[in-house]
Amino acid sequence: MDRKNQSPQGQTAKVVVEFLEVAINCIVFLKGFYPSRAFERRRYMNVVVNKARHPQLANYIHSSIFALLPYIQKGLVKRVVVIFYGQDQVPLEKFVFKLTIGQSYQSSVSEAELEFALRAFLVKLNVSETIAKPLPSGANWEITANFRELPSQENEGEEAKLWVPTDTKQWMQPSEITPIKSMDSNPLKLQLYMEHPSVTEQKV
Amino acid sequence: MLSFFIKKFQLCYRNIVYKLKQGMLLFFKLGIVHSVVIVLFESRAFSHGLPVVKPDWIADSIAANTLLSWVPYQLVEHAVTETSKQLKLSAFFSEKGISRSHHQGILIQNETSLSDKCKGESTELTLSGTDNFSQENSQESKHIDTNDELKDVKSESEEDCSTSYVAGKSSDHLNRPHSTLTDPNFVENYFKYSRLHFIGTWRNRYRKRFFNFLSGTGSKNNNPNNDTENLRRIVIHIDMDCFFVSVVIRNFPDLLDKPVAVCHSNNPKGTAEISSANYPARSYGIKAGMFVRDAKARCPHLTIFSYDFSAYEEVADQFYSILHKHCKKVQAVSCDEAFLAVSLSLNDNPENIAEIIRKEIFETTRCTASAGIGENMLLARLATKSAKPNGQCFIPLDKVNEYLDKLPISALPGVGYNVEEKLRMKEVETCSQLRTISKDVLQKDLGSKMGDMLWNYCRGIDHSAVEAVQETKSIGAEVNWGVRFKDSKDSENFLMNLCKEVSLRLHGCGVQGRTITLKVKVRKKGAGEPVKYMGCGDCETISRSLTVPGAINDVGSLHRIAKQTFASFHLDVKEVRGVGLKLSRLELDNPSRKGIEESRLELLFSSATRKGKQPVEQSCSTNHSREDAPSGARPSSSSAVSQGSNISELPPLSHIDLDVVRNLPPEIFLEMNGLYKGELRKILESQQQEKEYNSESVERKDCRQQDQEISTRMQRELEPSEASCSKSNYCKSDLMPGSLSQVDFSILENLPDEVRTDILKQLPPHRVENQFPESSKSNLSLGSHSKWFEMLRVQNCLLSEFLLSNATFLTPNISPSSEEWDAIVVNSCEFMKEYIRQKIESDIEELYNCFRLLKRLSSKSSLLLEFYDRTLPLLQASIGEHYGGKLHL
Repeated sequence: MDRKNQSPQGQTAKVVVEFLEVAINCIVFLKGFYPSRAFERRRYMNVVVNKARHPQLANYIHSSIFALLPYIQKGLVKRVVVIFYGQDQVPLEKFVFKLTIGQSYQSSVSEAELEFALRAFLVKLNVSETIAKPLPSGANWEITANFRELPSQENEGEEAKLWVPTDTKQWMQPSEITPIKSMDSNPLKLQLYMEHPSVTEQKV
Repeated sequence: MLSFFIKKFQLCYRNIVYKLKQGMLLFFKLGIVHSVVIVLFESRAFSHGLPVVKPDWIADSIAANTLLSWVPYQLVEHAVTETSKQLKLSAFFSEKGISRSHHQGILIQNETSLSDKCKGESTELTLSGTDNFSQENSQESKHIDTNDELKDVKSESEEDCSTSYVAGKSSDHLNRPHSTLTDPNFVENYFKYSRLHFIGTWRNRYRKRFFNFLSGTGSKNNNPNNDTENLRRIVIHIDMDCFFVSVVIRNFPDLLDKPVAVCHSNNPKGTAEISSANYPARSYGIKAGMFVRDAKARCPHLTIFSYDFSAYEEVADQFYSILHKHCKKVQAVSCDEAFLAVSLSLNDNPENIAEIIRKEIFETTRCTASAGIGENMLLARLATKSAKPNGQCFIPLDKVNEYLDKLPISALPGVGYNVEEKLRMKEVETCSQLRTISKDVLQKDLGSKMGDMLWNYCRGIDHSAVEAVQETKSIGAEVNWGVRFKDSKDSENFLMNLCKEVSLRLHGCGVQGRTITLKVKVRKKGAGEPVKYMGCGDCETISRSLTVPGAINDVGSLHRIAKQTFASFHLDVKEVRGVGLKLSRLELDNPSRKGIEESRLELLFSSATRKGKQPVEQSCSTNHSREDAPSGARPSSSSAVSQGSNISELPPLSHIDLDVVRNLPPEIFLEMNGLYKGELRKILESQQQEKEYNSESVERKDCRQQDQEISTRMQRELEPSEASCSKSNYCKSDLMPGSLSQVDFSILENLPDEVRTDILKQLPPHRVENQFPESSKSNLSLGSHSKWFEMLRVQNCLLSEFLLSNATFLTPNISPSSEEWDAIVVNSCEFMKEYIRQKIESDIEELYNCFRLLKRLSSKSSLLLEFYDRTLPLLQASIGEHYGGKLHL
């Protein structure tokens, strides 16, 4: 991937997208959604991570995240959420990447520094298994993205049409948030936290 | 009885011969048992350094009827030299050292007068016996020049003196210590007695002496075309015939046609190498580089002389005086060899001028010289070869091809073994054959430069011009003889001395160098002691160079770099056989620095000294006491180097992470501080002061009012101290964890209990504690919210970190519901509200950590519980607002 000749935002976005792909792979592995043999151990930014081996799975994660790249570059994407939901389409657990890429920030942070910071996320993610809840059978998962505004269909063309509104239902009650990792450094602000339905929600 | 003995002896002898193959030799003369001892004694010098045994060995062997081990019978005297001969030390130089200082005085005067004369137009030269020293002091070398193989140092101190040994200074030289580094002045003495060193440094001397010639001709030669209209330019190459021999024997006319060789030692062992032989000796096949014993085998009546450096200098100076008299443009090649560029009118015979010069040289020096005359330097040089000895040869332009046709290619300058071999493969042996090969092919086979050069040379073309002054490219010193280290201390001393030597040479030339190359010769694995006494033997050569940003020439820096580089080789010092230090990328000495040194020197020599001869004086002054030269002459350097410590090298102060230093245990800090001679503490203190200045208002108040009521203090502190933090740069960044204190707590929580408690125990002693005395901590926790922010800003850390590291101070004993209590809670809540507002967008992880900690701590303190209870709703509200949920604590 040629990261040269790009705006700082572009560079940062590329790093973020790459990181998101790896992180989502890790999350899926972490949840034990697929048998562990469907993953292989890889090294990314010097951290041991698990990457989906199955081409369809890997491709799904890859294509959906990389389709976000132009929007992330423009700063349109507010959140990237990995939702695990049960049979009734009610989310059981959400992994939220809340990201802000400063558009005005000119001097880009060096890629190495950024990667160093992102590494902390991966390390943390690998040990946050205890926070996550086991999934019931028949559960499913998806990747969703929250936009700050709807992308204009005309301008974005084909790519925008690939994105469909999610069928996943919303929680009725405010969720419970468990932060995993936050990072606040220009130009990138990134927070990873988990959302669980509140106790009252589950009873309903 | 006797016949029986001899029979047995022959049997034994066969065994001995067999043993010889294993590297031992019994040296003996047949005869009566008693005389064997004597014979052995006298002849041990012929044993070639191999074991010599007592005759009892033979007798005992016969008695036992078997070949006994020779070791117990080894001659004790010899056994000693055998095992420790390479480390032998003789105290010979002590006497010399005393006489030195005397010489110094004369030397200074001499040099003064010399430089005075150089400045003036006078060309008269002053020569004196002390010139030896000036030669040594003002060293300079052209690349190869100073690679003084220690061939030249006299090596034997054996008391034996063979009859044919005639030496001018023999009594003085005989007992010279050629010992290893155990001789403290080894390096110095080494160079004093080295012939190659003499040759190498001669050029500098020459340049100094003939300075006015060189500069005077320089301007004229810049426009040589002015008068070349009806003149032709001819190059004459003049070379003294076996210079080193003929200079010595000019006082012995009877030896003129006898074989004579010059060698640094005429030791009966014969392991010294011949450096020069005259023509009668050459007819016996004696060549330079040959061992004396081999030469003697070829020519038993060979006479051997030792060097007479002062005579060499004298003759060389005379030689060049004559050359400069006859010709304006002289390129000095060596002390006995030079090119002259002469312009002649068309009908002048160039041979005449050569004849005149040669005649005058002979009359003045009583030594013969040969001359080659040609259109260019190449032809002149080639002609000299045919002219030798004591003749001259002119190759006119029309005879060039004829002359070159038969010339073997090896005669061409620049053609060495490799090129010759390559060309021989193509069946090229003479220049005429070489001419048949096209330039392209030559360049392809031998490289573009070499090919081009050969193509030109075999046609008699040489474009190089006779130049009076050649630029010095590198300066260095190398010792490959007599190098034997016992331990690393030896090697360090040696390096120090070598650096001094090199530094002296650099100062002598008034230059500094940027690239330092250290070359080390290491004994090849399996290689035994070299045949040549104390020689380097079979060695592997490693070298490493380092380029520094600023040019250097002081002993301190040189030594520091040399030591560092030497250490980086990770060598067993016992295996080291040679060390060389060279500086390249030379720059002229910094004039500002020169000024400083000059003024210092002027103090040393309160007598009238003049500018322009500064380098000479420099070397004189350091020569005075080489041992303490660096401290005397260049104190600036000595402070930067820590000497005598076993630590390989201290990093420069600027490279030290002060944060780390500050947190070091006191013992280690003290040690480090000592190594840096107290500099470290100074820096830390100055830093501390800066910091104190930043949080001045906080600290001062706290210290003063430590015993006062908290409430009153709080009132005062409520006034924000604005100026206090203006200077600290607040550059919080999540990119890198600043220190261990930024450990992630939720990871911590997932760790096993023991590990966690361990880590928690380790955590507190971080920068927080160092910067804030206890009193201020407890106060701060109760202070106004602006103060909290300042505190966090000053420390550049997160609240959670602060809470964690100061957990013990956060439980003040204040009775609940008092006024004081309320104030604290209100203030804290204000602060937390602000903190939440700051962090809610970007860092809920931090807020999460804070509140988890507070929750945990609140079980111990009702104050904190109150605080927690009050702020939690604020937090949850904000989270709900921004994230649509609430924190799961």
